[in-house]
Amino acid sequence: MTLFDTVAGRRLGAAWTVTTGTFDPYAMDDPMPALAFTADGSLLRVIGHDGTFQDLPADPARAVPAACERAGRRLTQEEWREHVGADLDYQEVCPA
Amino acid sequence: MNSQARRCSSVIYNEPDPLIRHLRNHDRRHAAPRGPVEAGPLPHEWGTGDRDALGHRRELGEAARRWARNGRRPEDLLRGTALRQTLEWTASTHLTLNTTEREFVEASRTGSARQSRRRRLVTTSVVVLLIASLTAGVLAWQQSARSDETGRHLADERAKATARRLALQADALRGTDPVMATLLGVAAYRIARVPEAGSAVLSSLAQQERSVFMAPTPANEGRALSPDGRTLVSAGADRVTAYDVATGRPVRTFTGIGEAPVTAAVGPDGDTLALARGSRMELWSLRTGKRLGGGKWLPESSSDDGRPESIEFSPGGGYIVVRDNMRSGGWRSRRRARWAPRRTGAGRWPCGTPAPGAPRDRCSGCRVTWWEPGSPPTGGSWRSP
Repeated sequence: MTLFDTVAGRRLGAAWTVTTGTFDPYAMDDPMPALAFTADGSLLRVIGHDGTFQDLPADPARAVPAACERAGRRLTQEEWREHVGADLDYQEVCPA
Repeated sequence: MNSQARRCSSVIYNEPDPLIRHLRNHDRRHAAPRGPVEAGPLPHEWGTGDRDALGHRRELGEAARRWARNGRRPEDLLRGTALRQTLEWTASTHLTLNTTEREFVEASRTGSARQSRRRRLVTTSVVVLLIASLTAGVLAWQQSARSDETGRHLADERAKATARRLALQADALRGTDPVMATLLGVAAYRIARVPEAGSAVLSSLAQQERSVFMAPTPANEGRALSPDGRTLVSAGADRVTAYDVATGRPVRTFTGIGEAPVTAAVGPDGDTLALARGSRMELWSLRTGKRLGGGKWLPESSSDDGRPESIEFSPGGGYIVVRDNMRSGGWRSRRRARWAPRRTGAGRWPCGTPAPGAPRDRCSGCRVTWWEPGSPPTGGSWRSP
């Protein structure tokens, strides 16, 4: 599942692997899982053939906490200097 | 004070009657007392007012004489309140001034006028300067505000460029260091909310790899993950090392497996390590580092000392299957005895039903599905799709 930012005209993050239950690529009737954005547009809900669903984040601002949780640690000052550079002052990337 | 006296005083000061003319003409100190004598009874105010006039006159005379005596210096002239009072007094008085006094008053008036002109000039200059400096200040402020704006714009652009570079770096690192890639993506998004940074944040969530562990022995071909996924076993060059995947630290190591390259698998118990090379296979205990058993996994002995393609335990751990090219062999792991699926030719894997006369390599791309046998295997425990 790939999302696109139509305003910026670019892909919105890497492609997602979604579970769609009994997926048969050759099934002609309803070959796709059901898709819908949530009301605030921050999530894309993917509902598989077996009724299971998966929420894909579509709003980077809302996805930042999840990304930080996934990283499980903070960016150290040394890593900031190495990758960001000395031009910008260190700031807490993933505050605990 | 009676009403007659009041009338008299008003007459004296406001009416140019003969008496007053007489007083003006006879500008003498004794004239005042003489007036009232001629005019009749002496009114009190009249005498006082004229005494004041005479006092003024005396002061003026002294000042004028001092001025004349000292070389008519401008600093001796009258000024301010004294000048104003003198001018008021000379305009209204009936006393006549002498030449020196008149010149003194005149010089004072012109001096004062010049001074106030100068003062006006100075004030005007100060006002002009003030306006000029205010204008300059406003211009400078506008200039600095504009340059502040330019500076902000530049800083903004720099931040955006940094964010784009970080997002690019994050995407490049994603395959080898997902944690760092995630952190850099978030850092980029925190620095500037450019689309690339947002995309990097979402990419790190879409990625299935949580972290990457690089075994420090890249030459080892015998690698196997424990069934719980927490331990990586790396075997080769006579040594087996087990690493904790989460921390990357070695947890166990032992030697004695031989120098030749092996193919490895860890059993569901997390302890049994199967190593295969050539046509032989061995079982080792990871915990103790002892050899549990060994033997041939193919009936025929092979001169080929290379390692087989794959080796797998059954989910229950009771069986092991080894595959190499088109040959395969089974191993009853508990009994340490070899077993084999239905023999087709010389141990070739029954892959589909090749058409008669079809070349053998047709089978090499077939997928293998393997079923846990419910009973000790005889022929036919293995099925091809």
